[in-house]
Amino acid sequence: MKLLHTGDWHVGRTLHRRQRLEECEAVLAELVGITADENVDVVLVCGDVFEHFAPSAEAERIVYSTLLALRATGAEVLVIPGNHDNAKRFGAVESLFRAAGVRVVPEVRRPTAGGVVEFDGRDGARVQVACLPWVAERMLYTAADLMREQEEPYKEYAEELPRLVAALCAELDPTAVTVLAGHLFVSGAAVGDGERDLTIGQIFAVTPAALPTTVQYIALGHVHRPQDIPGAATPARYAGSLLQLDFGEATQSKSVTVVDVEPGRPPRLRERELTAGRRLVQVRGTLDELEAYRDTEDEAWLKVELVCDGPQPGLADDVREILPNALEVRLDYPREDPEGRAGELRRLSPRDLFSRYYRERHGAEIEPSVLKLFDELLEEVGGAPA
Amino acid sequence: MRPRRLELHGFTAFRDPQEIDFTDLDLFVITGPTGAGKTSLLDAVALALYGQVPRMGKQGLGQLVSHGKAEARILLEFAVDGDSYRVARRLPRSGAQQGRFERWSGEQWVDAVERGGIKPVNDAILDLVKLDFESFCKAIVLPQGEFARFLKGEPAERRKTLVALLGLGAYERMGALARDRSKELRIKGEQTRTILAEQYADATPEALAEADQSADATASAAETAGVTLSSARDIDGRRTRAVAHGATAAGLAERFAALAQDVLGEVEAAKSAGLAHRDASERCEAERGLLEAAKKDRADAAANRAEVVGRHGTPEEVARVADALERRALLDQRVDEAEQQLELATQTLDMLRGEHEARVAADVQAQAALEAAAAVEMTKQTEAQRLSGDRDLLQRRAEDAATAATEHDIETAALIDLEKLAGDPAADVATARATHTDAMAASEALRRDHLVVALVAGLEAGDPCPVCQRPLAEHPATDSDVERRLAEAKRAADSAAEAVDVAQRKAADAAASLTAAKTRIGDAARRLAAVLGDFADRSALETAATLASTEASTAEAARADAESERTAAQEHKHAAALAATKSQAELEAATREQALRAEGRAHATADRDAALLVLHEHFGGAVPEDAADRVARARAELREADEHADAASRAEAAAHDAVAAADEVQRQALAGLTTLDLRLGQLRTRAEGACADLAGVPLGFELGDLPEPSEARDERAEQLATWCSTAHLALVAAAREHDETATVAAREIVQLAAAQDLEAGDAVAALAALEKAEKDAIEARARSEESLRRLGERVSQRAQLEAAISEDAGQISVLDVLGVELRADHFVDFVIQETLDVLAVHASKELLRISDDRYSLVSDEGEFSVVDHVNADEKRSVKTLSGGETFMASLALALALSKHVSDLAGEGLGARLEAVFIDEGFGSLDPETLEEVIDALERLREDDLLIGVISHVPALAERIRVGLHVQKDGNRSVVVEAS
Repeated sequence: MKLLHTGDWHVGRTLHRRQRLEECEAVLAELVGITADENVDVVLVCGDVFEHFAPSAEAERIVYSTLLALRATGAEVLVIPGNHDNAKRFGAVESLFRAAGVRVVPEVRRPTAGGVVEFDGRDGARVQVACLPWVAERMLYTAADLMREQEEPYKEYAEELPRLVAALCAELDPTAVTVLAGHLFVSGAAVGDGERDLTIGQIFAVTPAALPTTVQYIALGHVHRPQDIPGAATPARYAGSLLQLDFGEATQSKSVTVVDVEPGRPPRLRERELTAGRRLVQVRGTLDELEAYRDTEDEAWLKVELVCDGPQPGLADDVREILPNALEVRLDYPREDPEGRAGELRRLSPRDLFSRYYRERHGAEIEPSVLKLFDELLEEVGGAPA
Repeated sequence: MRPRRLELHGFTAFRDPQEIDFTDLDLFVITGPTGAGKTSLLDAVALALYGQVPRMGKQGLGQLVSHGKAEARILLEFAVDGDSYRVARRLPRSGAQQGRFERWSGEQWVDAVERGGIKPVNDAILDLVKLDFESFCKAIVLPQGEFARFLKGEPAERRKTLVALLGLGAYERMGALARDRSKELRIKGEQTRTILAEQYADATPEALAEADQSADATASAAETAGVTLSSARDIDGRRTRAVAHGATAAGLAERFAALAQDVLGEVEAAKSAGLAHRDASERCEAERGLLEAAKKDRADAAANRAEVVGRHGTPEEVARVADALERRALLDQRVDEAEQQLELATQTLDMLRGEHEARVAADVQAQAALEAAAAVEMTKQTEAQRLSGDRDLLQRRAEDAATAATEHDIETAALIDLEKLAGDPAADVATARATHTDAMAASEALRRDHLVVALVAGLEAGDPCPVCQRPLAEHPATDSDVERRLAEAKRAADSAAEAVDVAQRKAADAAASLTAAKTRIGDAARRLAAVLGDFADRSALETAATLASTEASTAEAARADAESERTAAQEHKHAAALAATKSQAELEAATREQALRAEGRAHATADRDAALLVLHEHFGGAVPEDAADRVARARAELREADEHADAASRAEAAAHDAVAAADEVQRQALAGLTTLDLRLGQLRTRAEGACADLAGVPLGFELGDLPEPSEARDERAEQLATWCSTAHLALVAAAREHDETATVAAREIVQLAAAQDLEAGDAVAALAALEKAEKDAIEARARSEESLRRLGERVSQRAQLEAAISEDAGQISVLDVLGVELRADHFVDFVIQETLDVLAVHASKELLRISDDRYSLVSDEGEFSVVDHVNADEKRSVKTLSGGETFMASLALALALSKHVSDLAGEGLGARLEAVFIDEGFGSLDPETLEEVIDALERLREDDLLIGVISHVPALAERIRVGLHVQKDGNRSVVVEAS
């Protein structure tokens, strides 16, 4: 039984307002090629298929045609929505997907009500996939209710979600290949800048120890860097995104994960690197130093840190004249600390503020008698003197 | 200000009560279709706090009341600096709003305003929230299309908002205060100067020295006057004493002269009193001898009378015996009369007793007769009632029988009529049936003809016969009219059948009527038979009734006779009872009379026996013949002895009176002597008193003691008189010397006064003049001291006023400095510029965060610019920003304002914003920008700030998820919590 684990496509994602649909399409074609090449039995797409809640028609076209192409390789295809996806949109087209041979589990379901999806492999083995789409904190209560055997008080997300997962994976068939496909954040995973800060906050983190041990493999989506989860009893992995989505991911190489697995045996994992799409590159230096990069990085998107004395009109144009793909031109120069000044001002009492004003306006220190009267009047109008 | 809970009743589209809990919300979306009332929720918050709503202000608020509701009610619970408050408003469709503002005390809601009315509520909230309505609309509720105003708007407008938010009005008020105060001080200075000129011109140190000298002069004059007065008073003392001594001596001289006169008057009286006392003593002795003789005579007479009584008894005993002798015959006669009367009464009683017994017997007899008559009457009455009952019963039966017979006759007659009316129904039925049978036969015949017509219709000659299949030679003849006639025959048959039905119904009806009539006749006959019962027929019944009637009348007559007999017996019994009662009364009267007579006889016997007893005792058995003479003699002897005894007694009493009179005369003489002694003693005491009064009066010689009194009263008086005359002469001389001394002293005083330039006729006037002069001098000294003190005070007051003027002048210059510097365009401008700079720093921090480190904000001369950090820190005017950028920059500014406004304003000033509502469409944003906006909003969750976003964009709601959904159903909206 061969599984292909991917996710975090983020189709429709832009970088500084640059559309990357072409790159998405190219890397997805690469994905389809790998699927065909590997004779994959089941493709698991673990969330964040789209970038936006309301994706553009072009983005939808790319996603849907990719799903069909994957299916056309003979592989079964399973999709769960992530936090970027509009789960209801998936729900709306679930039966269309099914007609096309693509399974989607748009929301958390009981194992017996579609929460566990079963496929037959070409080698005659069966695989059971427990599906855990993204559960927002606000939705957890409803989702947990589904699984709850008896009345129990609602707990924190990090405590409640593992219960939900355990319930989902409780009754899998040990004679089949068992997999959990989920979109969630497991603490300890290394994060770039591209994920939404908020959904990776501590309240949404599940500890590796809380992951289920009743499955053979845990296929995760949400974090963009491909990585194994350290400290998990069951092999668990983020497949990562297909493209470098953000300059924070500039150094990451992207891949999909191929999983060979037989019932009751530990899985064997392999990464298949992806090469399509432009790279994101950070360069740093003075204008003169940047000249060295001219014409060397035509295909990459660049983030430039320009070492200079300070901002000047036209600097960005100067940089882009050398490096046209410089999406970000950030300046590196010694900055004054505006926070310090703000803090200083904030601490000034009305009295001190007035003293300062007098000094700046008249170039002389204020008379103590004037200041004393200032305090008296301030008290009279209701403010408290320092 | 952070809203906690909002309640709406009848407000805009929210016709039904709505309650919204903000407690658990941080970042949330208010979603709902356009026009459902999302913005109304914010309007409600504004209305609750300020009594007005954005875009409308205070006018026409009545139209916010839901259709069909008379008023809208809004309750907002909110927190300021951790304290809870709530405000409730009632907004009628027309008329004034009402409001109530309360604070949570930790235990209950308490009124937060002291006075009633809407204005104190508005003022109190304004004071608490520190944000006026305009600023609230700009900083807390960021209304549609105005969200970016603070960022992009005119500097003046920004300035206005900041002044309100930061409470910078306080500085302007301080400036105004300083100017007012400076003006006040100037006016005060002018007034003080005027006062100095008008009231303190004379208060100089020179005048003070002058007043001091004058005070010294008056003091020494007062001292001199005092010394002179003191010596004048000494001399006057001497004079006064001399006058007093002279007067005393003269007075005593007079007293001694009078005393000598009085004593001389007593000398003769003393002589005559001695003689009178000697005569009275001699007469007393003589009278006592006469009294002893009279006492002896009286004792002799008493002894003689006792001897006579011993012989004859006392005069009372003798009188009783005489009386008994006299009344003896009369008493015997009375006893006889009483005996006779008793005898007569006893006879009468016996007679009456016999008579009464006869009458009682007659009464018993009459009672028996009455009872017998009553029994007879009862028997007769029972008989009469029985017979009368029989008669009534029979008469009623006879009447019932007559009624039943009549009914029977009527029913019989009715049956006969019915039979006549019905005739012979069976015959009618038979006739109708025959007619029907004929009609049916005719119809059947015609139907057969008609069948043939149908069979042959369309056949031609040569066609096979429908019956036998042989070819027809010719067309069979048909009766063309058969169809019509068949129809007629059918109608005739139908009507004949109907006639049969009618005839049968009639026959049945007649039979039923006859049966009913016969039943009724039978019923009537049975009723008659029941009434008759044993009687053969009605005439037997009536005969019996007549007989019973006769018997009843006879019995009634017998009963009436018995009744009259019983009445007569009753009257007889009544008369007998009356007679018995009367004789009873007479018998009782006679018994009482007899008892009275018996008593009278007993009295008479007793009287007679008592008289006899007296006589027997006196005479010791039989009464002698001369009893009457002996009694008369004894009475004469007794009378004589009594007269002797009385005369002796009277003589003794007269002697007694004479002794008493002599004693009285002697006692009076003695009293005269005692009185004389007393008078002489008094005179001596007077002399001694005058001598005592002399003590202390200087005389210049010795007067000597009073002479010792001698034994004889007349000598004693003469001695005293002589001494008093001598004293009189000596005292007269002493008085004259004292008068001389007083005259000399008076002259000295007048001379002292003259030395002081005071004219005075005598010493008293001179002394008074000296005293007045001294008093005047003292008063003059006090006056000059007082005016010195007062002048001193005014000199020091003048110095103080002058010092105050110069001090105020210093204060005025300080106030003027503040008055100028705190003007709006000076210090406040400075603060605003500074604030904008600081605000830009804070907003940059927010903006970097929500733009993912892309943008920051700077302030330059009151205008904001955005720095684009991914474009080489390119500075762009806020006016050139895209929709998403504008939103982010505005949001950053709003957040910076919310978080730091209280820091910026200075302690105690400025509002504290704890909530922001963003009422922005977002509908026009492209998906990319929308995502940026949503990302920006999501990055705010961690802030401790209530951020409400109003939008109808579904993606926003989907992404933020937490929120309130306003649903519109027809013309009413409801708020549901969406998750």
